[in-house]
Amino acid sequence: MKIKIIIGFILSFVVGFSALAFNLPSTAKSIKAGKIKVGKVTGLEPGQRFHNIHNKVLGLDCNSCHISEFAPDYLYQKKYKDVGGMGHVDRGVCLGCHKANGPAVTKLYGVAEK
Amino acid sequence: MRFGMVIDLKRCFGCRACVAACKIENMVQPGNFWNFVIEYEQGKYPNVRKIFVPMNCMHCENPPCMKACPEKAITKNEYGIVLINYDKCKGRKYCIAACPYGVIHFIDKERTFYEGHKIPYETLPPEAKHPLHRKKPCIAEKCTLCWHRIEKALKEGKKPGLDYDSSPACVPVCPANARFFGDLDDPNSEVSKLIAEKRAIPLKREYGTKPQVYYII
Repeated sequence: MKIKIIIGFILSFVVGFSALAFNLPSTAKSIKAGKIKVGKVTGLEPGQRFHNIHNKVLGLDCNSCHISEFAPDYLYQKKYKDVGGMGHVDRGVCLGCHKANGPAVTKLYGVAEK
Repeated sequence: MRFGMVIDLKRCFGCRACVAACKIENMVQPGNFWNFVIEYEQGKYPNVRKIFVPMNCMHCENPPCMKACPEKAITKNEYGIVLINYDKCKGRKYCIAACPYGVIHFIDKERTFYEGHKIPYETLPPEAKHPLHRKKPCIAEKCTLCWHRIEKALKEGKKPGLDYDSSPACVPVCPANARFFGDLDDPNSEVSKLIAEKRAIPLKREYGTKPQVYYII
């Protein structure tokens, strides 16, 4: 169990670090200005904007987010084994970049309270 | 005024009366839930106990679903309740991807409660329903904290949470009195007192979402 958590942590660190390698604000600006083509369909499916931005533009590999060996998250309704395709994505992976003090432009989450 | 909820996990025994009440009150179609209970086991035999965690929208102060929505279909009203505008929602599912609690559901197609025929409510035209109940296929849906009830109570000059009709449907039906609803900004409200005295905490604080649903663990 501990090993799985450590692997999860390392992978989210790698994801965050690889995102840092880009100049994310200027990349986001270029996407919004249409200089970088990410498709016109806004959606989560592969081939749509979400995957085009994360996978094709930022270069995140499928396994960066779709980790099969997450520590079980009892507070998340979906169980990983029930999900088809590439599998469930732990929101902890998103948190790495999308927190208030993270590198991503879209600050979805706040800062953890102490 | 900022409405919130406190759920006492020490009292909850997983009967799912809240789930059923929510289903009926909001006519949530089969397969989807605005309110559900997660259960898991803790400890090792023979010292084992079962934990029940009722989950609904946390109505976060800092809602990631609202920020993620490309259509700006999710808003937070002046009472702190996060609502989806079904007319604006285009079913992009970004809100579902951003929510760390997994409480937003997607309506892929219209499903009736009974296969082959509609119950009288299902035959009503959308105009006859509250805007938050005018659901349609290809949109996201979630708990509204029974805003239709709270809104009505406020219009009638009542204080929400004091009686059956002015509380979210899941609260008064709880046989264990494990759910409490009220104004988080009022230090004398039951919810504020419980948070202070019983040290109720929100879930997944690491996300910085500042949920308005607290749990007594």
